[in-house]
Order: sequence, then structure tokens, then C-alpha cells
Amino acid sequence: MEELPPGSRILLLLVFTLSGLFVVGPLLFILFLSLTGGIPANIEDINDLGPMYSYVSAFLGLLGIFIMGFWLFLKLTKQKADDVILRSPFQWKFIGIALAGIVVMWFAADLLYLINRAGIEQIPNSGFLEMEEELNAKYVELFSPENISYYPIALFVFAMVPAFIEELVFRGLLMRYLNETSNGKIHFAVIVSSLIFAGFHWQPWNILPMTGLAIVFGYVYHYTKDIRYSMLMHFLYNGINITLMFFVPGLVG
Amino acid sequence: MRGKEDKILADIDWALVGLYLLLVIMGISNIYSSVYDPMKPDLFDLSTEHGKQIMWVGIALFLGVIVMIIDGSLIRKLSFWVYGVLMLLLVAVLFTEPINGARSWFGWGSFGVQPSELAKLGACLALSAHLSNIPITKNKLAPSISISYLVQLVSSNWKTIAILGIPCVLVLLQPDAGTFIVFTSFILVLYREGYAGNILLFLLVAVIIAVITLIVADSSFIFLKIKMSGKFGIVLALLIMGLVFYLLIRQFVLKRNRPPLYRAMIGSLIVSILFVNFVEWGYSTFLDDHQKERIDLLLGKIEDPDGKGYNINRAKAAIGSGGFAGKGYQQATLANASQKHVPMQSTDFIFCTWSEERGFLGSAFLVILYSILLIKIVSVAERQRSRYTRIFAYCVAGIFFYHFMINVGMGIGLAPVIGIPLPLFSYGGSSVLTFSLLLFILIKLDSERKVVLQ
Repeated sequence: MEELPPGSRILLLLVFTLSGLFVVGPLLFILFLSLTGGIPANIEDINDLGPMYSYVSAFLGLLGIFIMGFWLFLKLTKQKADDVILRSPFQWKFIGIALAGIVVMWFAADLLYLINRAGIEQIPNSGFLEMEEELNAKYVELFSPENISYYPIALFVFAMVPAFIEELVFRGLLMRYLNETSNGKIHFAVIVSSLIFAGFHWQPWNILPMTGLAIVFGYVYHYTKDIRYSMLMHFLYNGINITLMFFVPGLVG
Repeated sequence: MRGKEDKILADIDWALVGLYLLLVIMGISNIYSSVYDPMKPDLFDLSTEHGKQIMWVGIALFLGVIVMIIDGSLIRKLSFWVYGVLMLLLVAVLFTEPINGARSWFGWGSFGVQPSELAKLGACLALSAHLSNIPITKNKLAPSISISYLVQLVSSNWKTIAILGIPCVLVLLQPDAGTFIVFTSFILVLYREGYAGNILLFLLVAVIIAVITLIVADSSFIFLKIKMSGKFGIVLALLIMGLVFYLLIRQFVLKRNRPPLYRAMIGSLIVSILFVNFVEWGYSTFLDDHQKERIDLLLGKIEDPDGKGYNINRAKAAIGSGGFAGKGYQQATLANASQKHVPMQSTDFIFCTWSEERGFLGSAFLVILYSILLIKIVSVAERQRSRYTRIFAYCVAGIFFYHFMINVGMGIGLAPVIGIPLPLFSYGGSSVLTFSLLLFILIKLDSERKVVLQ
């Protein structure tokens, strides 16, 4: 493939990432089900197979994003991961910055959630509130103290893998391309990539907290010039939330 | 050098002042007729709407005189402060008690102020101050349908977007969709100042696609003996159009010029197919039931002359019954206070009273009067050497144009019923104050056109 203009590269990245989530991920899940012989007779029951299947489905969705939005994208555009993703020598100072960012966001996210909630309540026709309750119920079921044996798997699927893959795609690739296309306007790149990141999760009741989090990740990545610190922050934030849900039931909602 | 007294009155555009006074006096006489109560015949009775209107016009004239006395440079310096204070008011109004389901009023007894009306003034001032300050640079990329252009447009103009976006979001939170639509009039200003590329063309296409989508989306048709939804038909039509353009490009364009055209074609195809889906989703997700009804009524999807569509129907009846020469002052039989046949007849549907009493001749006169006002404002804008004044004048023209077009269109059934007033004509203190201040600031800035060069 010939050299793409920078804007088309962003479009291609978004299309590939979306198709990874909605096409490749489900295809992999169907492949998995057919190999294990677990396809239900009624296709609508596919969401009620049990917690283990939910973990596998979430993991394969993320894997689809990695395959399409990172690996295949880099192959097709003839780039090397080492040239695109920034790495720098280890520094203890950066670890401190990452931890401080987590502490700040821990309190800011609650405030942003309340503002977001007030906005969502303005549009009662949308059905977003019902969506939130549904998802919360699913999480409470997945991360309930009765399923404590799933804790390591949950930590892997909902904290480690998203931290790795989402940081690579949204901070590593998307933010860098936005920065290049806008002639080095780093604030623009951070904010827009965060908005796309938040929109990608399709949780309208969480748009503001997620944008805020992603902005912090983006600035940390820009400051440290190393993807590992934002990965660490992402892992810690998700991991602490999951741990709390497992060991302090009744916290969600 | 001229003396102080000369300076205040020098170079004032008296035609604009005359048009303003004419419109205001006509408006007050019209409100007097539309809310006439035999028990309260006094014109200056402050418990009636015409009395309050006269009071507000008095306040507006007083503020107008103050605007005339202060120096134009003060207005320029205070632009962002005015904007900031009005935005704070817009935030504060969200914490008041809702009236008719919207938190948009600060009330003291029987008097109320709508900060969303005054926010238009603040947005005009801040937009003029911002746009006139940034140096004229050549765009690095030619306008096109591409992500690169979009990214550069947004990243280099994010301040403009923020200035216009903050009041839009705050107004939508009230919720007040009508004022939000008025805020889109600033796109006309951006177009004149060269920041918006082909945005008017895109808007026109977007409106056409949206209207077609809303009309046919929930219908169905038989194609190849298969039942298809109307939305699929639109997507099919878009794909066929894309194919036609592809063939045209292949046939008539040199080979080396083709790739950007193909990219633009694929980009606009993707965007329009996404847009079709978004329109349908947004219509069912973000709109209230009464907003959906109004759009359906306008598109003719539902007909309910005595129920949901009664306001449009009665407004049209009142306008039509005026005939060629009208029934005469205070002789209206449909749009008068005792009948209450037309709803909101002193604010949103004020045009009905005027048309019924003055007929076709009077309505045409009013339309011509507003057209003269708009042409006058645009010609004032074009004779400025100062960018600030030119941008401000275009803001004023855009706001007047939107208000006039949508309000009259509402009365005759060409626009959805969103409650926005007819400028300087409808009853409403905040709106009269805002429109008067807009015009007076414009007259003041214009009167300094021979002194101020930048």
C-alpha cells in the first residue's frame, strides 16, 4: 500500500479498531463456542451462558481490537511498533507522577460522574439510564464475592488486557497521529483522542469521567514519553475498581 | 478636532435608528391590539403586556443612550467580560425553579429576565473580539472532505468553537431548543469571515437528507419482491449516487487527479450513511415527545387540526382571514384577547394579529421593512474598516434573520413551532432589550467608522 495521507491513516485506524471490536471479536467468540460445543440453541441466550463465557467474550473483543487496530494496521501501513510507540529509560519520578494521577482522578471521576448524570437525566427518552442499570447488574453478577475464584481472571481480562491494548491503540497510535495531523498541537491531540476513547466504550453515562481519565493518561504519556506509565495507571485504576467490587460488595450503584 | 457634543451624534446612521423606532412603535401598537382589555384601556398600565413592553423599551432606550455616550473602544475591551458574566448567569439560571418545564427565567414578582436572550449579545461581542484579534493567515490545507482538513480546522479554531459551544450547551441544558437553533446563525458569520469553507453547502445537503430520512424512515417498499425499510432505500439511493459519481470521475477526469476525488467520494458516502442512521437515532433518543410531534406535524406525517396541531392551524386561519386589506385595527376576530383563539398571540404568534388586522398589504409591508433592515445592516457591515465592527454587524444580521425567518415561518406553517420571538415586535422584556442593545451597539460602533481603523 502506498504512503497514506495522515488524515486517512486516522480514518483507517478507527475503521479497523471498530471492525476489530464488532466483527473480528464476535467471530473469534463464535469460533471459540463452536470449538467448545457451547453454542446455545437460541441465539439470544448467548449473553446468559455464565460468567466464564462473559470473560472470554470480553477478552476476545479486546483481542480483535489488538489484531485489527494494532497488528494488522501496522502491517498494512508498513510501520514498526518500535518506531511508533514511545519508550524511555525508567525513572522513579514517573512512577510517582502516575500514582499521583491515579489519586487525583479517583476523586475527580466521582465529581465528573455526577455532572454527567445530571446531563443524562435531561434526556429521559434515550434509555441510557436503563442501559446503565443493566450493565451495573451484569458487573455486580460478574464481580460478586461468590465468584471469588474468578478474581485473577477478572483482573487479567478487565484490567491488564484493556490497559495494554487500549493504551497502545488510543495513546500510542491515535494520539500520535492526531498530534502529527494538527501540526503538533498536543492539547488538541490529548483531548480529541480522549473523547474518541470515551465514545468508543459506548457508556454515555460515563463519558465525562472516562474523558477525564483518558486526558490524564494522555498527558502522562506525553510527559514521560513512555507508554508503560499510562498502562500502569490504566491497570491500577481498573484493578482497584474490580478489587473493590469483589471484596466490598454493595459499592456499585 | 470635533467637540464632545458633535462626537456623540456625529456619523450616526439615522436610517437604522428610524427603522428601529418604527418597528418598536408598530410592535407596541400591535401588542396593545392583541391583548386589548376593555377594563384596562390605559396604554401605560404596567399590569398589562403593552405597558410592560413600553417600560422595557424605555429601559432599552436609556441603555441605548448610555451606549451612545461611552466610547466604542470600551465596548471592545469589555467584550469578554460581558460574555463571562452572561455565561455565569446562564449557569446560575440552571439552579432556579423550572417554569413550564424549562429553567430559563430569573423572576422578580411579575417581571422576569431570560439570560438566554442576553447570551446572544454576549456571544456576538466575544465572537467579534476573538475573530478580529487573530491574524489573517492563509489556510494550510484547501477545504476538502478529509480528516486532515477537519483536524486542522478544529485544532486551529478551537477557541471559536468554545465561544459558541459553551452557550449552546448551557441553553440545551435548560432545555431551550429554540435559542439553540438561533445560536446556529453564527455559522453565517463564520462563512463570511472565511472560516467555514463549504459548510453552507454541507448544511443544505444535511438538511435535505435529514428531512427525507425523517419522512420515509419508518415506511417500507417492495424491491425485488423483498420488503425493505425506507432507510434502506435512502442508503441504496446514496450508493447509486456514489456509483454514478464514480463512473463520471472515471470517464471525465485525468488519471492523476482521480485519487483525491475518490477519497472525497468515499468519505462523503460513509459520512452520509452514518448521518442517515444518526438522524433516526437522534430523533428517537434526544427529542421530547412534543418536539417529535411538532416535527411530524411540519412534515405532514400526522394530521391533527384540533389537537396537537391546533396552534399552527389556528395561526394559519387567523393569517388567512385577514384577506387582502385586513379587518382593521382592533377588529381582529380570531387573533384577539377575548377569543384566545390563537395561542401565545402576543409573543410567538404576534405575526397573526398583525396579518389579520392589516391583511396581505400589512404583512408584505412588515416583511419588506425587515428586509430593508437586514440589507441595511449588511451594507453597514460591508462599509467598515474595522474587522470587529464588521463581524459584530454580521452577527446582528444573522440573529435578526433567523428570528424573523423562523417566527414568520412558524406562523404560516413553514417552520416547526419553536418559541422564539419576532425581533422588536413580540412582547418580552429580555428579547426587546437584547435586540435594542444589539442595534445600538452596532450604531455606536458604526458611528466611529471614520475614526477607528482597526
